Amino acid sequence: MKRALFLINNVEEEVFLLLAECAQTHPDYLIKIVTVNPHVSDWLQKQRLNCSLLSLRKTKNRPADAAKAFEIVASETYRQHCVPGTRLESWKVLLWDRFFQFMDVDTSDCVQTVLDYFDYQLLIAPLDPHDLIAQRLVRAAKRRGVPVIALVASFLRTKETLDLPLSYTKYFVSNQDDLSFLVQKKGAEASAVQLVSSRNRHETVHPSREQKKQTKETLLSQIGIAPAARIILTTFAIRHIWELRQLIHNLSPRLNLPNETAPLHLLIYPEGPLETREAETLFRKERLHTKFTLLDHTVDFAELLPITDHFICFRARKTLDMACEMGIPATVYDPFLLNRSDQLLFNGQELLIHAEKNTPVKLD
Amino acid sequence: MSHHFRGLCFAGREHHVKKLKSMIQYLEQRDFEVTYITGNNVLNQDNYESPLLREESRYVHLFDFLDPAAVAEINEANDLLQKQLEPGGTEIEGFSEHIPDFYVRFSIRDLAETQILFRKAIAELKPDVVFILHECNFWTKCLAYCANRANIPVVSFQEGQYGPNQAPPEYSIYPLMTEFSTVVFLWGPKEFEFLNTSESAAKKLCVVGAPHLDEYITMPEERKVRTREALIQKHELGPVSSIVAFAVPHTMSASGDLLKIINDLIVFFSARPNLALVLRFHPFEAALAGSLKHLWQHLKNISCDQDTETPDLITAIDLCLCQRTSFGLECLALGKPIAEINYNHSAADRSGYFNQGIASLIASPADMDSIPRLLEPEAGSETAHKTLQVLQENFFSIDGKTRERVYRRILELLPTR
Repeated sequence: MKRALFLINNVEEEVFLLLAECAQTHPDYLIKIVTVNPHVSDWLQKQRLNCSLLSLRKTKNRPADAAKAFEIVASETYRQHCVPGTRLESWKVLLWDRFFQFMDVDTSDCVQTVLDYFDYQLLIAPLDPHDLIAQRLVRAAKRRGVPVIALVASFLRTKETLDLPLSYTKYFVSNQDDLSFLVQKKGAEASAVQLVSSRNRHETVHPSREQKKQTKETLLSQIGIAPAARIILTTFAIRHIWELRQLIHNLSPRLNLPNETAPLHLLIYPEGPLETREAETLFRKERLHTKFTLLDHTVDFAELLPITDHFICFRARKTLDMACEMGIPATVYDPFLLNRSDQLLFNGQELLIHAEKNTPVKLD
Repeated sequence: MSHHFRGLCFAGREHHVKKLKSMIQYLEQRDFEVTYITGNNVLNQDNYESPLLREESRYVHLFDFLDPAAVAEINEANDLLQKQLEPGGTEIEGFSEHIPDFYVRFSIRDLAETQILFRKAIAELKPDVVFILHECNFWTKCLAYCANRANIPVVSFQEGQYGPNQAPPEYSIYPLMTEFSTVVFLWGPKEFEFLNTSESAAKKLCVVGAPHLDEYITMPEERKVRTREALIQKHELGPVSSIVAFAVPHTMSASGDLLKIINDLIVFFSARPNLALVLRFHPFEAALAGSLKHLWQHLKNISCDQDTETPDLITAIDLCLCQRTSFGLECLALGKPIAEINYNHSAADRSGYFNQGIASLIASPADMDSIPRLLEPEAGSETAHKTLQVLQENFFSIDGKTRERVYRRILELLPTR
C-alpha cells in the first residue's frame, strides 16, 4: 500500500468525518496520523486512534531570524514598496512588529526532518492558516511534488483568506459555501473540491443533538431567562469588540420590551477563556442601559442553537454554518463590509444585511 | 477647566496605556484634553479596550472612522499592495519560507486599513498634537506618518532601555525612532547616544528623564508601605520579612537556561518561608507564565504578578533579580537593589548590570545563598558610587519633575492661543 501522512494539531471532530470520507476515496493509502500537540495525542488515544506525537525541538534563534528579516526587506521588492497613495515605505511599518515577530527560521529545518523520517506519497491536513507547522509541512510537501489534500472544517471563509493563495491538490469541504468560495475566489477546479454531505456530518459530529429532550424552557430557565423570550444568539471574539458594541447599541431599543409577550433577549457566547474573562469589563457600560446575558465559553455552542430564534455573527465562521444547517434565521452583521462578508458568502448571500442598513431591524 | 489643546494618543496594547497614562494625566490637569485612539490587535489577540476602560479613559476606535468610501479605498489599496508583493506568482518573494503567508497577507490588509483610517481620524478629530509611545510599532508608525503629513506635531517617548544596534545600518531601529516625530523625549544621555543617528535626528531628541517614574519618586513613605501591604495581600504571601522579584527576561533574549533558573529559585525560596519571591514575566509572555504556574502555585511564599503597575511592584519589593532589562534600571532609579541572575558563563553574555559593576552576580544555584545578604540594608554600599554614575548616564534627573519638563517643551511646539 502507498503511505499517506495526516497531520492534525487541533481537536476538531468534524475533521475526522472529512478524513473518513477522504480515506474512502483513497483506499490504496495507509494513513499515518501525526500531531505535535500532546492534547491531540491524548484525545486520539481516547478515540482509539493511533498517532505519532512529534516533538519538534526548536531553539528560537533571534540573530538568525533578524538576519533573515533584514535580508528579505533588502530585496528589490520591498525597498520600493510604499503604502498606496503615500510615501510611507511599508517595510518600516511591518518589519519589527509583524515580520520580525512572526519570522521563524528553524521550524523549516524541523519540518524537513519530519518529512525525511516519514516516507509518504500523500499529505492530508486540515486547512488552517493559523497552524504554522501544518503550513510549513504543506509547503515542503508541495516542493517535493507530493500531493496535498486539505480538509476544510473552519477558517476558510475569512477576510484574510481572501488574500491568501491556496494551492492544494484536493479539498474536502462540508458546505456549499466553502465549495463556492474555493472555486470562485481561489481558482480551484470544481472537480478538485469534494462536498461531504452536511446531513451525515451533522449526525456524526453532534450525535446527541436529536436525542436532546431538553425543552427550550428548561434551557432558558437554566440561564435565568423568561421561557417565552425570543432568543438572539451572537458570538464574541476579542477581535470583534467594536462590532459587538455596535450591535448591542443598535439592538438595545428592541430588547426585553416589557409589553411584548415574547420579548427579544440577547445571549452572547464568548469564543474562548479570554473573552469570558474580559466580557464583563468590556461591556459594563452597555449593561447599564441594556439587559443581555453573557455566557461562558464552556457552554456547548451546539446546545444553544435549538433555543435560538435568530443567530447573528460578524463574519462567516463555522458557527454560522452550524446555525444555517439547523435552519435558524441568521444575520451577518458586518458594518461597512469591513470583514468582506459580501465576498465570503455565496448561497448565504441573503444572510448579509446591506452596509447602509446593517442593523438587525429585520428580526421580526 | 477649559482646554486649550486637543491631543490624540495611541494606545493599542496594555503597555502603551501603562507607560503613557501618567504623562497624559499630567497634561490633562493642565491645558490639554487628550483622547486615546485604539485599533484591532488581531494577531496578538490582545484585548485592546480593557486597559482604557480600567483607567476610565476617553477613547475612540479606528473603526469609528469607517464609512463605505473608506472601505472602498482600503480594498483598493489592499489589492494593489497584495499584487505588488507577488511579482513571481503566488508566493511572496523570500517570505513564504520563514513567515507563514497568513501573517504577511493579513498584515498587508491591516496596513491598508490602519493607514487610511488614521488619516481619516486625524482629519475628523483635528488634534493639535499626537502622542505615541515610540515610532517602531505597526500602528504608531502609521499614525506618526499621517500626523506628520498633516503638519501636526508628533510627540514620542522612550519605552525602555536601548542597546547597541544589531541590524545593518540601513535597517537600524534607531533612525526609525525619529523619522516622523517632532520631538522624542528620552530618559537620559545614554539613550541620546543611540538615537543620535543624524543631524536632523539630534534636533528632535530631548533628554528629560523618565516621566512614568515621577509620582513614585515623590511618593510619600506611608503610601509606599500601603503599596507593599497591598502586594502581600494580593498574593497572600503571609508574614514575610522581604520580597524579592525576579524580572524574568523574554525567552528570546534570555541568557542561559531560564527554566533552570526558575526551578532553582523555587527550590531556594520554598526552603525559606520568611522570604517571598514574585515572578514577573515579560508582558508578551503571559502564556509562558500560565504554563509554568504549576511549579509554584502550591507554595505560599512564591507567586507570579503580571498586572501590578511596574513602579508599584518595584515600590513593594526589597530586591530585584534580573538580566538585561529596563526593570532593573527602573529599580535602581527608585532606590531598590538589583542582582543579575545569569547562568551563562561566557563573558559576552555578561554585558548587563554585573559587568557595569552595579549588581552582584548569581551564576549558579549555590550563589543564591547570597540573597539574604543582598537584602541587608548596607548591602548596596560597595556599589553606591558606581550606581550613581550609571543612573546619571541613564536618567537626566531623578527629581520627580520630568513631566513638567515634557509639558514645557510640548507647549513650545504648539501655537500660542
